[in-house]
Amino acid sequence: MLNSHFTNDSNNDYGLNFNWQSSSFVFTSKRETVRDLVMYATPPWHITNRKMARLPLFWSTVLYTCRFLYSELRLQTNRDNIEWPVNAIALNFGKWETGGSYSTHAIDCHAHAHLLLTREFIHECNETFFRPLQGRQNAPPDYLNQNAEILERERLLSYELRTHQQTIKELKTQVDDIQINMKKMMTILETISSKQ
Amino acid sequence: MGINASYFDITNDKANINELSTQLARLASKMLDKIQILCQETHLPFNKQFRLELRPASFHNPDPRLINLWELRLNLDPIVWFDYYWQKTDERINFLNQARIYVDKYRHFVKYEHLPEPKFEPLASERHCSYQATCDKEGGKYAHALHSTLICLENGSMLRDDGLQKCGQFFVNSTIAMQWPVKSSK
Repeated sequence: MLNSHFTNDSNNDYGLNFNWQSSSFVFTSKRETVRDLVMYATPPWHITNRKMARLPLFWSTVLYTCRFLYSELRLQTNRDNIEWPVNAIALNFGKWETGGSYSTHAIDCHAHAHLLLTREFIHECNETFFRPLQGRQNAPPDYLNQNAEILERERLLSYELRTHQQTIKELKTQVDDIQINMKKMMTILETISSKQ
Repeated sequence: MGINASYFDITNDKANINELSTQLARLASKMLDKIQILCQETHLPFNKQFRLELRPASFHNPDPRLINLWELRLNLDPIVWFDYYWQKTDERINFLNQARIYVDKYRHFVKYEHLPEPKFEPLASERHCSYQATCDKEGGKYAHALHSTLICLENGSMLRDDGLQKCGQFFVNSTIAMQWPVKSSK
């Protein structure tokens, strides 16, 4: 029994309709052709990401899945020098969670985690080996880039501009002061030279 | 930054998965709690969008001692992060420089991939039902489009009142790669 270790876990909220004997996780490809294996709680089990992320059961299934994919890939390729097939495991929350789903207005959608796979793994997928994933080789969305872009556009550019304006204003005041002083000096110089 | 307990040796087949998962669950819980605390203390919407990511530490940190170790990261909404520090900091110019360094670093941190044509065509999605509005197949309006039978009909919490109060998450056979009972290893 894989998760027998956790069957006594009574500290956590397992959501609705959970049953140690019959509940399962289901793994699917995405509609987009990206190398992302999505792991859901199988209905009728309903749980949210906020609850699922707290479950040791969830994390152990993630880790066993990674190991399983690794050993399957080793058998498939018949090589030992293969890469670990999972690049990252990601759980989105709030708007980042529902952004890609049909009901973008859901407050708490059906829990799911993204297992981002390597190109090497997808390359091996075919009619008999993880068929739903075959050819889905594109990179998942680059959130780092998106975040950088949003931050730059929504905040940074205008704040930088404001700071520059402030600096320019200060410079302007200084230049004005210098000009006034220059004028004074010129007048003084002129009086001195006219006296001579 | 030294090597500490927040790194996970998940690719090591001698590592104890039960222990690792308990630690991961504990850390994830702490991060989720942190989000709530941040919201309460700052009155900024830290909880509106965020992301938990388990990745090799080497993705962000080139330290050779971290090779093969994984870390759990909490990714915040960059706008909220910015607003928070903007209010807090006395050295705004310094902070703007930091934000600029962040933006320049992550703009092209992940390199664009030019991929050859795949060996196999990705499976096309299944045909939608032509009678979506009137179809009375099992699952009704929640699964009308693809006649899925694996649907979550629990009450979900929705923001709009369009009569769809159920969770409605459905699964289509052609996309299911595998299914694992929670009690067994395979």
